[in-house]
Amino acid sequence: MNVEVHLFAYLRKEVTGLDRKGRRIVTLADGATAGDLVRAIGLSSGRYKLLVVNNVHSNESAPLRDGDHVAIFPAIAGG
Amino acid sequence: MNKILRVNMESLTVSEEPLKPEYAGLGGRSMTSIIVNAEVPPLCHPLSAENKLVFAPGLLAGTVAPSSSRLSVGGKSPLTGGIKESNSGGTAGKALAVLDIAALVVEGKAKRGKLHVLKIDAQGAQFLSADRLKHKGNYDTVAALHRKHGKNATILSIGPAGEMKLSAATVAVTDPEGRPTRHAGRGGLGAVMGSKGLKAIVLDTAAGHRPKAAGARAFHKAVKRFVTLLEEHGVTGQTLPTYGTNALANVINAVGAYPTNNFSSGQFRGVEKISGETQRARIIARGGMPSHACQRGCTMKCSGLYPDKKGRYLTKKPEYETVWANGANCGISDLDAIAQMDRLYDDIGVDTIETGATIAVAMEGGLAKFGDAKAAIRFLKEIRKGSPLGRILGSGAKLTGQVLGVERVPVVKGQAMPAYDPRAAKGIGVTYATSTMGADHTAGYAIAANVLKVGGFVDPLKPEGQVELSRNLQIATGALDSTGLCLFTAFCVLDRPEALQAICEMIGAERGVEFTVNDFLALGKRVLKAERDFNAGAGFTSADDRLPAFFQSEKLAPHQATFDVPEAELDTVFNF
Repeated sequence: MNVEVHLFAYLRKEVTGLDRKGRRIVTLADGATAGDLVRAIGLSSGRYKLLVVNNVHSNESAPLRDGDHVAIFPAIAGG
Repeated sequence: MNKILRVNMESLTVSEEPLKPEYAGLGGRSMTSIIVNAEVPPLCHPLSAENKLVFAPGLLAGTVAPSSSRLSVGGKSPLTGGIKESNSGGTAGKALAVLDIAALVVEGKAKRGKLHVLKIDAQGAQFLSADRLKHKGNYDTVAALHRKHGKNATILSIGPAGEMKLSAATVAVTDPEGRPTRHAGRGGLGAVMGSKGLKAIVLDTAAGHRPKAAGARAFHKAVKRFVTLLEEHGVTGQTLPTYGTNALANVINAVGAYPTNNFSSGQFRGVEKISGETQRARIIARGGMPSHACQRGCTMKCSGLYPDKKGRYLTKKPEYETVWANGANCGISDLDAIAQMDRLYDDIGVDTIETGATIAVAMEGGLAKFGDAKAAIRFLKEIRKGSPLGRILGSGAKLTGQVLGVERVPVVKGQAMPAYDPRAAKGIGVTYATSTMGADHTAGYAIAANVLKVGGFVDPLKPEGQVELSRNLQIATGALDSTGLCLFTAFCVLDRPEALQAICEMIGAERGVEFTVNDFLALGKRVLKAERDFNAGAGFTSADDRLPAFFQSEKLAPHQATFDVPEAELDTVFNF
C-alpha cells in the first residue's frame, strides 16, 4: 500500500527524498503501522513529537491504510 | 519597584506615592487588574475621564531572569466593555523597573484636542507638547522622539488609530532596536490612551538602577536552573528560536483547526506558502534575521526581521496570529502582502488579530473577495485615513459584522477569536468563552494539551476534560502574567515542574520572602477573581460566557465538528 508522509520544520532536513512541501509517498506492506512508516523513512522515535494520521492525533501502533496521510512534527508551540 | 506614579492628564501633574500594603507582592497583570478593579467604576464609559490606563512591569522585571521584561497594560476595554489586560514584549517592562516604577496610572483626560508626550527619567516626569506628532504613525513618532531624547529611550506610543480612539487601537512598545514592533494589542487600550490625550510615553533609564534581589545568591542559582531548563526543552530551546511562532501554521492546519475564510473551514490550501518554514527560508534568502529577541536577555528569540524583495528591512517577522488573521482567515496566501500589512499595522497601531478577523468579516460581507490581498491592504490604508469605512473597520469585527449584515462573526464579549477554531480544539473554546478578556488565546492556552502535547494530551475533538484544562491554565496564566515572564516559558513549565519551582524561587529571592507554588496559584486565582468582579460590575453575566451560536450548529471541515462542551460545564470554570 502507498501512504503519504508529510514532515515539518527541521524534520525536513532529517529525511531524504521529500518534495518542496516536505512530502513523500512511501510504499509499505499491508497491515503496516505508523511506527513501520517512521522506521521506513529512517526517523527515530525520539526525534519527533506529534504524529497525525488523516488530521487526527495518533501514535506508532496505529495501523495504516492505502492512501493515508501521515503528518509528523517536532516539538512546536507558540501563540 | 517601590513607587506608583499617578499621571493626571487634566491638570498635567505627576505625583509619586509609595506602594500601598495591599498592592505589595503584585506585578504585571495582578497589579493592573487589581488597580483597575479597585479604582475604575465598572460602568464608566471606557473613553471617559473615569477610566484609567495602568502600566505595570512584572515582579521579575529588570532582573537578570530571562524573558522577564513583558509589560502589562490595563483598563476598561472600549472593545469588550469589560476589564482588559493587554500584554506586550519589548523594552518597557525593564525600563519601568529600572526607574523603580511598580505602576504608572494615567488618570483623567486632557482638554479637548490637546495631545501630550510624557517623559519620565530618574529625576522625575514632565509633559511635552505632541502637536508635531499629531496623526503620525508609530514609526515617525518614535523616530522623532529618539532624535529629541536619545536612541536608547524606550517609547510607548499610539498611532493614528489610538488618536482616533478606534476600538482595535494598540499601544506600541519599542524593541531593543528602537522600532515600534511590539504591541499591547488586544482590546483597544490604544483608544483609551488617545482619549486621555497622551500620544507617547518616553522612558529614559540613563540614571536608573536595576532592582537588587534581596537574596542574590538564591536568585542567581534559580535563574541558572531556569535558563538551563528553557534551553533543554524542544520548544523553548529549539523550535521557537528557529521558526518562531509561525511554526504553528502547519500543525494547526494538519489537525483541522486552522480557521480559513472567516472560520468557514479548518484547513487552508495555501498554508505552505505562509508557513513558518517558508517564512524562515525567505528571511534567510533575503539576508534578514530569522531569529531575534524582542527583549534583551531572552533566549527563546522567537521574533525576527523580515526584509522586502530588495533585502531592505520591512517589518519584524510577522507572528503566527498575524499571518493567520490576514492570511488563511482572509484566504490570502501571499506572505509578502501579509508582511506589508504587518508594517502598516505596527505603524497605524491596530490589533492584527482583531483587524484581520474584521477584514475576513468584511470579505464575507461583500466588500472584497476572499484572497484579495490588495483589497486587504487598501482596508488598512482606509483605517489610517479615518474615513467612515476606515473607522468602522478599525472598530472591530463585531461592529463591522453588524454594519454589513454578516451572521458569521467570531467574537466573544465583542473581541474577535484568534487562530484556532474552537470546534476542532475544544479546550481553547472553553477559554474563548469564559476568559474575562473576551475571545483570547493566551489567557488559557489549551492548544498546548489539545494539539501540541505540551503538558499532557486532552483530545481536542471531545468535550471531556476541556473545562478542567482551561481552568488550570487560566489560573496559572493569571500568575505568570504577573511575573513579567514571557508566556512562552510556560511550554517548558508545563513539561518540567522544576521550572515552576525555579520561577517561585526567583520571585521569593527577589522579594526576600518565601514564595511557593501554592502562592503562585493563589496569585493567579486572585487575578481572576478581581477581573470577574469588575466584569460583573460592568454588567456581564454567564450569558456572556458563550461562543456565538453558529459554533454549535455549523459543522467544521475536515472533522465535521461542532462545539459541544455543555453550557452548564462552562459555568463551572471559575469554581475554585
